[in-house]
Amino acid sequence: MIAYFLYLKFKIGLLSLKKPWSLFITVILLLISWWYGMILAKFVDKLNSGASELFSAGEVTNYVLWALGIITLGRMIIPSYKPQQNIFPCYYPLSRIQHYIFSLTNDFFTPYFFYILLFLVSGSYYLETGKMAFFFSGLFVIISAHILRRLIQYNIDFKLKKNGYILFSVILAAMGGMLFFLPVLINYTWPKGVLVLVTLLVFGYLIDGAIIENRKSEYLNQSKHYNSYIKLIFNNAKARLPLIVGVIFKVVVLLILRIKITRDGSADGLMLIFWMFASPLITFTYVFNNIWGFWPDLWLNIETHTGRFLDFIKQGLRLLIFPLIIDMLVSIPILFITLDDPKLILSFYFTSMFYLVSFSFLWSLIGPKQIVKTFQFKGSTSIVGSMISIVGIFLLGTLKINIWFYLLIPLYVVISVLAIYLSFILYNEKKYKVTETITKK
Amino acid sequence: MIQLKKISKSYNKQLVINEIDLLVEKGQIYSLLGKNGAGKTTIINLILDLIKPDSGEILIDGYNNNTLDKTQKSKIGVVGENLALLEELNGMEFLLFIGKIYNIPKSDLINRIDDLFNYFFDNEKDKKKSISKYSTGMKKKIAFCAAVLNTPDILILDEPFAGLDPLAANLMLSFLKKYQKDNRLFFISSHELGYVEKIATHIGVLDEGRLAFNSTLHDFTENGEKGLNSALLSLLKPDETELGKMDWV
Repeated sequence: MIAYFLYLKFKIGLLSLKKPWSLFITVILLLISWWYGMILAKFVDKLNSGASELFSAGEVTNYVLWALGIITLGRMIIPSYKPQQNIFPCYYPLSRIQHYIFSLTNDFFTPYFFYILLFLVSGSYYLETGKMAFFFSGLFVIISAHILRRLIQYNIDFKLKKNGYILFSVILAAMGGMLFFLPVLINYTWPKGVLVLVTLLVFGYLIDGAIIENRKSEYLNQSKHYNSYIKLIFNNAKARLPLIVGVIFKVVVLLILRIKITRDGSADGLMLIFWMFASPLITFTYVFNNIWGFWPDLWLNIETHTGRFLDFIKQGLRLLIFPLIIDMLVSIPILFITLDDPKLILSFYFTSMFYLVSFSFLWSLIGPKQIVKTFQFKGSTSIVGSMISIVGIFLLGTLKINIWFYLLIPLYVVISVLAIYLSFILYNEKKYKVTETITKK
Repeated sequence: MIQLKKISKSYNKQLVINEIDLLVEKGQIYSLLGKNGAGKTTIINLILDLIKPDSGEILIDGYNNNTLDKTQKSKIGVVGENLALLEELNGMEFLLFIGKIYNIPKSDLINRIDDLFNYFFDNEKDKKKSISKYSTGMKKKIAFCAAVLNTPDILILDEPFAGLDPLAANLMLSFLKKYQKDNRLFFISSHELGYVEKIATHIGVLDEGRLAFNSTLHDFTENGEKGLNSALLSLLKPDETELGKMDWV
């Protein structure tokens, strides 16, 4: 029965890949999971060979395992509280153990755990030493963290019998003690990892049996509100295609440049082009320097409902979050495997991001364009805005040349803040032009 | 209260609205009538501060309409010419989104959305259907639901009945009648005179950029002796001489 259940879940997952966009995202995430595992393994191997005195390989592995555990636990509340799924309500004719196993299986058979598993497989495959220890430690950490999450959520989502609350207090105290005595997760396998996992599973089973009624209340799922912004991007063909093309174009150019730089050396001219593509520039010159042109109804809704520029900024940022995360997941690994200078990479990337985001509100306000077609001859964003964005990123690329150019960073922060301030000032004057342009018939 | 003081607006040097003065007070259901292109939508867009007048001033509850803060704006519900629907979302998501903008408490929001859907839509599945797949009438209904979600005191509706089947139009009419209170005002632009007649308290007729009539429905229909349609035709006097010349018809 469980096998059939898993087969159905698998089939539903496969069917969702019929949509080209879902397939694209899945492939990207698969590559990223594998890629990150590989990068971690190479990094740990380097540290093992004494490449750095700052960190040891063990410390880095420990941090990564902790991060996996915290992220898995944190999924409960980030981006918003997500109630535990009660896949088969209590009245279903299932034994307690079946009910518990179904519930657990349903939780673990999700894309998140699949990508994490892939990351662990990739990491252990490329590691030169400690392959199995890394894989099993990671596995035990994520499973334990998720079961701990379930234990916490039993108390939030369901009303329990008295013994359920007692059991929860006991396991919480035990976990607190474990955190105190077990700060290092390397070799978190036998016996400690297994013992913790078995304890959590047993307590989970006991608390699961202590549920006396269904959810205390229905939650308005906040994540749906976040999903709205993702849908606003995915279901908007005029914005979706340029963003996809932009990401693919960026990856291709960066990989070609990387090969050229590795083979021929890092000539400054080549590096400046590399920096331009490494920043999220393309996302803005293609779409986000004209936010309201791509989402005119969003503009009208905010304009008629609140008329506050701060709300336009909030909505714009929510739209930007997802594309920027994708850009970051693609760009940062390429930067790290091309250059051995984390300070430079992070300074450049995040300063450019801040600069582009801040100015996007200004360009969207003073240079709106109506979007009639996905790709149009007159361009999709303000030409002046795009030119200034390119020049700005080009100049920021000089960080590589000399340490003194790092002084540009505070300057960029200041002009970015000024751009937002200017947008606030200009809003009342320019809003009519924006409305007229983007709603033209 | 909505007050227009000597409002003028022109497009490409052509005067569309010519020094219009208008006062709509709370408790009134003001219906603006006029030919196509008479400037009804322009007046609504001017009131909503979506376009800027060439001269004059518009006051909403005594405040200039371009200085309204979020709280004041949230008292205005709109179904504009452009329905401003986020067609990327489904009906439920769109209303949740609008509710979030207004900071409506979760439990109230869910109740209101459920009530509105149950009232205006036949099929529960419409909630989860993408707005892009809605029919014209369904789009009008969901835009109306969004407009009343925050229980605004001022409701501005541009052609609210257009595209609705008679059943849906009557549902909307009944809703508006129930929604009407002494502290609320509706400003409606419509060509559907049959529905307007059933709900309007005041009538304005826009012709060649000016208000050709501005008083109560009672006055307009001469104490109910004329129908709204014939009252409007006698005021605007359509020119049918050209029709006589068309021998081929």
